[in-house]
Order: sequence, then C-alpha cells, then structure tokens
Amino acid sequence: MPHSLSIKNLFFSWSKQSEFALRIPNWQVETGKKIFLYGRSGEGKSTLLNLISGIENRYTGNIQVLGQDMAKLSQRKKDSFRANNIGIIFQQFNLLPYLSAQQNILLAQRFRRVSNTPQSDQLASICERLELSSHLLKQKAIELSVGQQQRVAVARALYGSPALIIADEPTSALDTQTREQFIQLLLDCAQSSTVIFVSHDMSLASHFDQQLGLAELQQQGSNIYVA
Amino acid sequence: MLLKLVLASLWSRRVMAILTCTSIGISMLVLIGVEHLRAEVKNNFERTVSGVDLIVGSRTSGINLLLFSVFKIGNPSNNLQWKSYQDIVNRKQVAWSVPLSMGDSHQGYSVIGTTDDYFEYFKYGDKQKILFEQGEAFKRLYEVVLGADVAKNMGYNINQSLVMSHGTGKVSFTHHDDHPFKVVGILDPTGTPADQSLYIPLQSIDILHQTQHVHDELLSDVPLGQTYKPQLSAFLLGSKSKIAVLRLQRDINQYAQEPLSAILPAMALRELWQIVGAVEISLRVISWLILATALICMTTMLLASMKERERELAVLRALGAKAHIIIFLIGAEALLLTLFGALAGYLLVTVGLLLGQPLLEQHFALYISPHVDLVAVGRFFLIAAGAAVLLSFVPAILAYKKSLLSGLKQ
Repeated sequence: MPHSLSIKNLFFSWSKQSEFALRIPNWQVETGKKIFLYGRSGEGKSTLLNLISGIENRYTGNIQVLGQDMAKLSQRKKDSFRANNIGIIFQQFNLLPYLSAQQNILLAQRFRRVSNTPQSDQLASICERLELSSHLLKQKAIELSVGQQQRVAVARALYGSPALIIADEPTSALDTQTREQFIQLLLDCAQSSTVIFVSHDMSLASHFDQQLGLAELQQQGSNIYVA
Repeated sequence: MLLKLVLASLWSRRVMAILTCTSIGISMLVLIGVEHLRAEVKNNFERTVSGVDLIVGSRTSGINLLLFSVFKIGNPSNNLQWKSYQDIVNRKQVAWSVPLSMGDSHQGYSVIGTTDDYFEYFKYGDKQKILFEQGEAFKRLYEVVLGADVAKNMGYNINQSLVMSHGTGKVSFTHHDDHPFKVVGILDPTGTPADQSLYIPLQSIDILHQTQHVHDELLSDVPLGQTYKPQLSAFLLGSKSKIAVLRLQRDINQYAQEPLSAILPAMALRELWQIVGAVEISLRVISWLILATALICMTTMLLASMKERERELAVLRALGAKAHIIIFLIGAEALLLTLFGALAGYLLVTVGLLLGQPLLEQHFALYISPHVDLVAVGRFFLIAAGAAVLLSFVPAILAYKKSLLSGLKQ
C-alpha cells in the first residue's frame, strides 16, 4: 500500500541555541490510515504538522507527502500543494468571523488549482452529513455556537476531498461528550482520506487506526504502536 | 470571491476603515480644492481682460494699474489729465480708446464713469463682448448700466432710481442725492469684476461733484471735452496694429507733459501671477504633503492591523493562499480605502463649491465653477491609488512572511 506520508532522518530546531529539537528517524503513514499523534505540550506536535504541511521549511532530512518531496517545492508551489491536497482543522477552528459559514467552507476551494467552481453536490453532501442547514450556512461564523463552528471547520477541511487531513488539537476546548461526537463526525466524513490527528488527550486514541507518541516516534520511528 | 473577502474584512473593521477614509478624504479635499481654486483663480485672472492692447494711467506700478483699472482693487495714485488723454488717443496708431473714471460707489459697488465705447471694446475671456441682458447703454446724463452681480444681489430692475455715493468704501457719508440715476441697462454675467460695477456716463462724474443742478440731457448734446473735461483714472487702448503696440507703450511711458504708465495687460497679469505663484506653489506642496501624510497613516494603520489579523492571514495561508493573494487582499484594501476616501473628498469639494460659490462671487468677485476638472481629479486619484498600492506592499509582504507560523501559534 502506498504511503501518504514518509519521513526520513528529519531534524528541526528553531536555532542552534534552541533547546528544542525534533528528530524523527523514520515514519511512514499508509494511505487512508487514521493516525492519532499524542504528546506533551511543547513537545513539537504542532511543529511536526507545520513541517508536513509545508508551513515550516527549515529542516534537514526528507519529508514526502503524497509522494511529493516537500523540500523540492518552492514556497508558491507548497502553498498550491497544500491548497490542493491537504485539509487543515485548527485548534480554535479558525473560521473567518466576518464570512458566512458557507463562505468559510468554500474559501479553500478558491485557492485550489484544480477547479475554482464550487462543487455544489459535494457541498450539499458534506453539509447533509454534518447537519449544516441552509439557514445555518448563511449565518456569519461569529454567530455560530462552538458546536456549529466545529462542523463548519470539518466541512472546510473535507470540502474538495483532500487526500490528507491534518487536525491540530481541535478538541482541546470541548467537553467530553462534544469531543466524542466531533471525532466520530470527522472520521465518518473523512473515510477516503488519510488523517493525522494531534492531541494530548489519550481518551480519544481508541477511535484511530494507529496511535503514536511523539517522544517514541522521535527515538525509534514508526514501529511504535499502541493498541 | 476575493473582493468579497476584502469588503467583508473591511466591514468587520469599519470604524477604523471609516476613519482612514475620512483622513484620506480630507487630504483629497484639500488637494482637489486647492488645485481647483488655483486653476479657477488663474483662469479668472486671465479671462478678466481681453483684446485690450494697453492700459494707461498716471505713473504707477504695472500691477497697481492693472488691479485698480481691471480688478477694481485699490486706487489710482493720481488722475491723468483730459488733455493728455486727448493727445494720446488722437495718435494715428490708436484704433479705439475707453476712458475710465473711478472714485464713487453705490452700496460698496464701484461706479465707473466711461463712454458707451466700454460696451463695444472692453472684452473678457476669449475676446467676448459684454452683452446686455436687459436694456441698452446710457444715452442721457443720469442713466446707469448695472453689472450682472449688482442687479442680482441688490435686486435692481430697469427704470429703478439709484443714488451714487462719494468714495469707494462700503459706508459713505456723502451721497449724491440730488442726482439720482435711472437704470437703463443690465449686463449679462461675465464672471469677472465687470459684474460688480455700475457704469455711468463720463460726463456725469463731473456733474456728481458739482453743487449746481444740471438738467438731464442727451449725452450727444453734451459732448466730452467741450462742456466737461473730466479727470481720468485710466484708459484702455486698442492699436491699429500689434507691431505698433510696443512703440506706443514706449512713447506713453516717455510722455513729457505728464508722468504716465502704459502696460500690456497680458504682461502685467503674468507679473501678478508670478507673485501669486509663490503662494500657489506653497499651497500645492502643502496639499501633496497632506495627502502623503494620509497615505502613510493608512499604511501605519494597515501595519498595526496586521497584528490583530495575523490569525486571519495565517488561516488563509494554511488554506493555500499564495503570496500574490495575500498581497492582493492587502493591496485591494488599501486601494479601496484610498478610492473611497478620494471619492468622498471629491464629493465634498463639489458640494462645498456649490454652496460656497455664490459667497465667493458676492464677496470676492470670483466665479469659481463648481465643476471640478475631472481629468485633474482622475490624475490625483491615479497618483493616490498608485501610492496606496505601492505603500501597501510593505504590510503585505511582512504579513505574508509572518502570517503562517506566528498566526497559527496564537
């Protein structure tokens, strides 16, 4: 089975003087797998996601996303690659407050090379699964409840069917029940995508195909497996 | 979609946007206003007198002679003798002449003693003749022709009876009550100081200052130079050939019997404008500096807003917005703020001119058109827009470089 993500001999540090360093000797993620990546605060989980998505570029080693060596892409091409292939769900959902829910969902599509024409069938399908009514879609993001914002953020990440979905602690501000619902919703809707879900909350780990601790990943590579 | 994004983002920060637009609008108001006033005042100056080859008066500076004879500003340093006038206008190079005698007024408007040649030969703008809106030129001693503004502002009509006052101030203690004048003509508006004057026969100037009563007579019965030999403030000359003008000017300036000055109106206007020019340049420099300050303020505002918008820009970049999109968003924001501000400035100038034009005309005899030159406005808009877009590159590039990591870390 081909790999959605392949990392070899990755080394990252903010500066020579910095105590923080991220070292991953070897890590492969199979296409379609749902990965739960956990670790303590400040360990480098978000930094790793930034490296994978081409947001942070100062590293040595090799990162291949969907078979593409990220180091070989210019910043412009990285932006384009991200727009076309990666869906991101942020910690705070990061919806633009002045846009409607629908405009937020369609925003990523605007930056994609493939097609700028909104795919109304896909939008309708995603919205139906996420229970986003047409009335709700017209509301400004700032007017939505936290739960509604979550669903819009998931819809934005899923719209356009990106091959890789990265979620950076999107449940950190949610209560236990809402957190469970959110994970279920995300995984249901992203069945055809590879998902890398970052969190320090181990109670969510059982929903995923693979659970990886960042500390162990840094020492030994992807042979770490928690059942 | 991107434009919607810009508009929505601006609307979400509308208080700041409105304040920025206001500052740009005010600076554009100053810039367009000063430029329009400058152009209109210059145009007014240049169109005040036309087709007159020489203006002759008692020895004085060229600008003073021009100001009191044409613009009705200031007073002559001395009068010139009727004999000198006759001597000069009878020369073979002279085609026509218009004598002017000043010193009286009516309700603050200057009264000019002249002949009906004034309405024939005095021209303004592009050699346009002064036309009568109503009535005709004076034919009798106690008849008066009104400039357009005098009739309009005072509400005078044909056949109305007016009394002239001694002196040129708004308030006079000596009124020529015993010599009332009948309005026989009202002139078309010219947009020049000619609209602000009353015109009476030259013979009447002498009569006004006599104590004995003189019956109203036909002017043809009291020919100038015989019954009356008035002193003149100045006279206008037209020569038979342009080549002769300079020689005539030199001869008059060297006139032995009386110290006289002869000026070429166009040269005197240019000299006058050169003096005003220093103020004009200063005003223009100040206007441009105000606009530059407003644009720099806008850039500062954009830079300051980048901090609060880091997350917003980071989200856009994380979703795949390339550099040119981030630069477009911030550039378009700067452009919209500038164009809205500039448009507001233009509208304010137009409204201000529409409201203020009658006052300027009444108090300063200045006809300032409320229609601003759109080519000049377009030029200012382009310069301001270009500068705004260029200046917006600074926050845009900084935002692009900084937005992703720092924004997402928040």
